[in-house]
Order: sequence, then C-alpha cells, then structure tokens
Amino acid sequence: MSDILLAGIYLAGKPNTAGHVAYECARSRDHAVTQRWAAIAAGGDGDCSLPGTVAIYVAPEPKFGIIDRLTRDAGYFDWLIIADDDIELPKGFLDRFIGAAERYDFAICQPARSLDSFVDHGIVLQMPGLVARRTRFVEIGPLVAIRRDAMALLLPFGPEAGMGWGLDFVWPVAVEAAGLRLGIVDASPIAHRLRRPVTGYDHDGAARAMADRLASRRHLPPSLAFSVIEAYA
Amino acid sequence: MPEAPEISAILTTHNRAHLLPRVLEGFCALRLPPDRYELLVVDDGSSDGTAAVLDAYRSRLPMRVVRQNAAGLAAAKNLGIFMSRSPILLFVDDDDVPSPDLLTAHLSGHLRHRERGAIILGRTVLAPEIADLPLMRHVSGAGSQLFSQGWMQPGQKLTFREFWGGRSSVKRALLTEFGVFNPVFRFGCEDIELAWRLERVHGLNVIYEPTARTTMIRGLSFDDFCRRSIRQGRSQWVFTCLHPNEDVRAYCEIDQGLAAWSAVATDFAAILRRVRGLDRMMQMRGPCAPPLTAQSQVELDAAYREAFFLCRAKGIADAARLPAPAQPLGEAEASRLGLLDRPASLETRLSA
Repeated sequence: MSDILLAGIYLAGKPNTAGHVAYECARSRDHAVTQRWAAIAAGGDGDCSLPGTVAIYVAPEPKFGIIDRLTRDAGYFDWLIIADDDIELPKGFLDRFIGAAERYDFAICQPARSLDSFVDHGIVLQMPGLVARRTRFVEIGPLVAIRRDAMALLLPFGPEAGMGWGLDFVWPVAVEAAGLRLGIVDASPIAHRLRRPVTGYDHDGAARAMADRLASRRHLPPSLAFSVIEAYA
Repeated sequence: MPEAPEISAILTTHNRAHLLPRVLEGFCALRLPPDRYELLVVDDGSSDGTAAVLDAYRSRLPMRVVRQNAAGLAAAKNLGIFMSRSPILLFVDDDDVPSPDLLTAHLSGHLRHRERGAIILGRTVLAPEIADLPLMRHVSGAGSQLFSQGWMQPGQKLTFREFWGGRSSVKRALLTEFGVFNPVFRFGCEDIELAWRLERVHGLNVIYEPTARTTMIRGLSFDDFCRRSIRQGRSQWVFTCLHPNEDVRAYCEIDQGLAAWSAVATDFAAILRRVRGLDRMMQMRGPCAPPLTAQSQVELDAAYREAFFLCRAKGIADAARLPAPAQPLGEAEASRLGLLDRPASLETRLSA
C-alpha cells in the first residue's frame, strides 16, 4: 500500500468534475489517499464545498504556485498526484494506474487520454494494444503522478513555473539524468473532453511562457521527447 | 551513441507468418545499407508463427520487433511512429515485398521535397502469380477498389485521398506534432482520415513516386474482398461521424450506400451468390482459355463493382445502426450525461 497525496484545483464557478475525481480516488482499495483541493472562486463566486477543499482563491493564481502551497509536505508521501477538474476517470482508476506505475518502475507518469478526448500531443493518446509504455514525455496535466524520488528532483516547482507551460519538456532531462523512468499508462485511460485545452488561457501568453522556460532550461526537443522507449503489452 | 537511421520502415503485421518470409527477404535484398535504415515490426497480437519467423531474421536485418495486444492497424501504426528513431517514416504492409530501391526512392523523394507536409506515395504492383486472377485484375484496375495507380503521373501532386497507408512515407515530425492515426479505426479509413485532418491543420503535399515500388503477393478471394468491403463501409461511416463534413460524406459515398442498401438489401445474398459464381467460372477458365471479349469484361467488371459496392453499403448501414463513436463533449452535453458531479451529489454518494 502506498501513501498518496492528491492535490487538485477546481474552478468553483464553472461546471467541473472535481467531485467525480475526488470520489473515484477516495474509492482506492490498494492505497491510502489524502486529498487537498484548492477552489478558484473568482470574486468569491461559486460552490467551494467540495470535501477536501483546503484553500479558496478569489483572484486568479498560477496553477503551479497553488500546487506548491498544497504540497509542502509531499515528501512524506510515496506518490503525489496533481489533478485538474475537467477529467473523467474509469472505475478503479487509481489502483490500476498506480499499480502499473509501480510494476513498470515509472518515477513520473500519466494515464493515457481516451480516444474521445481533446489531445494536444499525439503521444498521450491511448494505445489500446498496450498496458503501458516507457516514454520520454509526460504532460503537465490534466493528471500526473510523481513518485517520491522524482519529487525530490522536481518540487517545489517555484514561482517561475506559473501555469507550467513547457515543464513537460524540461522534466525528462532532470528525471532521466537521475536514472529514473517516465511513462504513460494505457490500461487506465482518462477522458479529457469537457473543456478544450488552453481555452481558459491566453494562447500567446502560453507560447511566450513556454519559449522563455525552454530557452532558460535544458530540455528535450519534440523530436526526442515524443518517443516510446519500451512498450508493455 | 549510435547515429539515428535515416529512414524507418514500419511494418505492421497480424497473423501473416506465411507471407512474412517473402516480405523480409525483400528487405534483406535492399540496396540501402543496414546502418542507414531500421525495420520496425509491430506485431499486432499475432497468434500464428509470426514471432518465430521474425526471430529467424533478427540477425539478417536492422530490425526491432515490438508486440501489442491485437488492437488494429491504426493503433499498431501509432506505436510504430513513436518507437521509430528516424526523421522519415515509411509504412509497409505485411503482404507487400519491397523492391531493392524502395527505401532509396523514398529518401530521394524527401530530399527533393523537404517541406514537413510532403508525403511520398510509392507504387504497388501485383505479383505475377496473382496479377491474372480476375478479381485482382478488377480491384486494381477497372474497379479501383484497391490501389489503382494507372492514372497517376510520376511527380504528380495528389490530395489527402491518396495518402495510402501501406505505401506512403512521411516526416516523423508531421505526425508526432500534428496528428496520429485514430485507433478507433481497426481497419480501413485510418490513413485517409488522418490525411484529412493533417491537410486542415498543417497542409499536405502528396507526391507520386513510382520508382518506390512494392509488390503485393497476397491474392484475395471473392469472399475475402466482400469481408474487406464490409469493414471498409463500417469505417467510412465512422469517418463521417467523426467529421460531419460534406466532402467526407461524399468521399465515403454515404448517401449512395444507404440508398443502395435500402433498395436491394433483400437481394444482397442472391447478388453475391451470382457474382461469386461468375468469379468461380472465371477462375476455372484457366490460362489456356481465349481472352474475354470486351463486352464480357465490361459485364464482369460491372458485376464485381456492384457486389463490392453493396458490401460497402452493408457496412455503412450496419454501422449506422450502432451508437456513434464517442467524441469530446460540450459542457451542456456532459451535464446531461451526469458527468458533472457537484459537491452535493458527491456528499450524497459518500454518505450512501
């Protein structure tokens, strides 16, 4: 049994699936799950009563700054899971997902996207013939799991992490340099189809933030990042 | 660190152990040195002797083999894309033997067309032992149901309709950054549907290069082709559901298919029986029989065409009765499906 910290953020004033995510993760039979949710309630509007809500922000805040505040003691947990509020998880998700992550020794991993999801990067689309695959890329969201040894490399994200744009090309350099493995779990795909990615954000601002980050940090180019190293059927 | 090969040939296969030795011998005879390419075989859950056949060629080819549970052509190709190590990817069918210059011709095409959206379409011919089969002659000739390329000119610029899966090469970056195959397609349409999307999000330049030649060695029977056509019809319906667009609907002949099926569904079995009989008679004529008269050839082609079109129509009509493939939802739709658990409902469920 692993100790898991789930840190999530939900938009209190918009339709969201945070309750569903919280419920599915609370149902884990194999692991002890601690949940901490932050509500974004612009101007104080919205329903912030999701169980596990530990912070309410009434003004916009960068996602990874909030995550840093939710995860100050993450090092005491075996896994940190960072979740968005617009995903749908299959029944038994957490046990299957973490089970595969542990079996294939992934230090940082994500579930594949179901075939009916919005997808920005083709590599995260579910490969239905596989259980999991070792990759050189794990997306910053909508759900990512970081094992304790990788947390030591990546946390805290720091104030410059902002919304996280480009972190997914920086992470593999740090993680692989430490001899750790990244992966995508296909056996527990999640749906990300409620909101189109980046619709709530400024596209140009996101592109600028990503370029700035990649210019200042060692990272993998897409030609190397979008690679499967090993496949597990 | 070893240098990356210049081109990856992605060979997807499923239960074709009996054909693979000829295909792999073709790779052994390539003129391109083994250090300049890789052969990436994706075994899509074969249950025959495929693994043993591949093992026998490991020492003779720059080959990597990856196995997945049977999930269909699109899923297998996607795995090949992301496991490949070259900037150029060539998709190869498991019943096509490469000519010695296949990979050099594709590389040459990409050196001449360096733009990311360039796709090189090679030429496929029928092996002599199947070229004279009446059905194969029809589907690759007058019927154009397989790969009719007689109308193409070398260097001709084509459209998304000619991004044919088992004989096209493409820049890896185009796929990894702009779109991959949709695994919902297990057989048929996976290539054209991807090309349709890529043409919109990036732009495509499909170029015909007949010197990039493969030879198809598998003869299909009449019943094989009927089954293939039914599956193709199902995929065409799915293609139309994913992209409700007039061009797609016209390309897939959805309206003609549905109309034809509603008109002749009750005669379907009888029509197939008649054409199957014609096909058998044609095969029994043997090599010594005089050639068909022009009129008989036209009638035979018309019979095949009707049978295979009706099979596609059946596939379309069958699929139209099934639930549409799932797609990203709008918020309103998600609410109707009860996916938007509000905190109150969560508390209710937890307390229950």
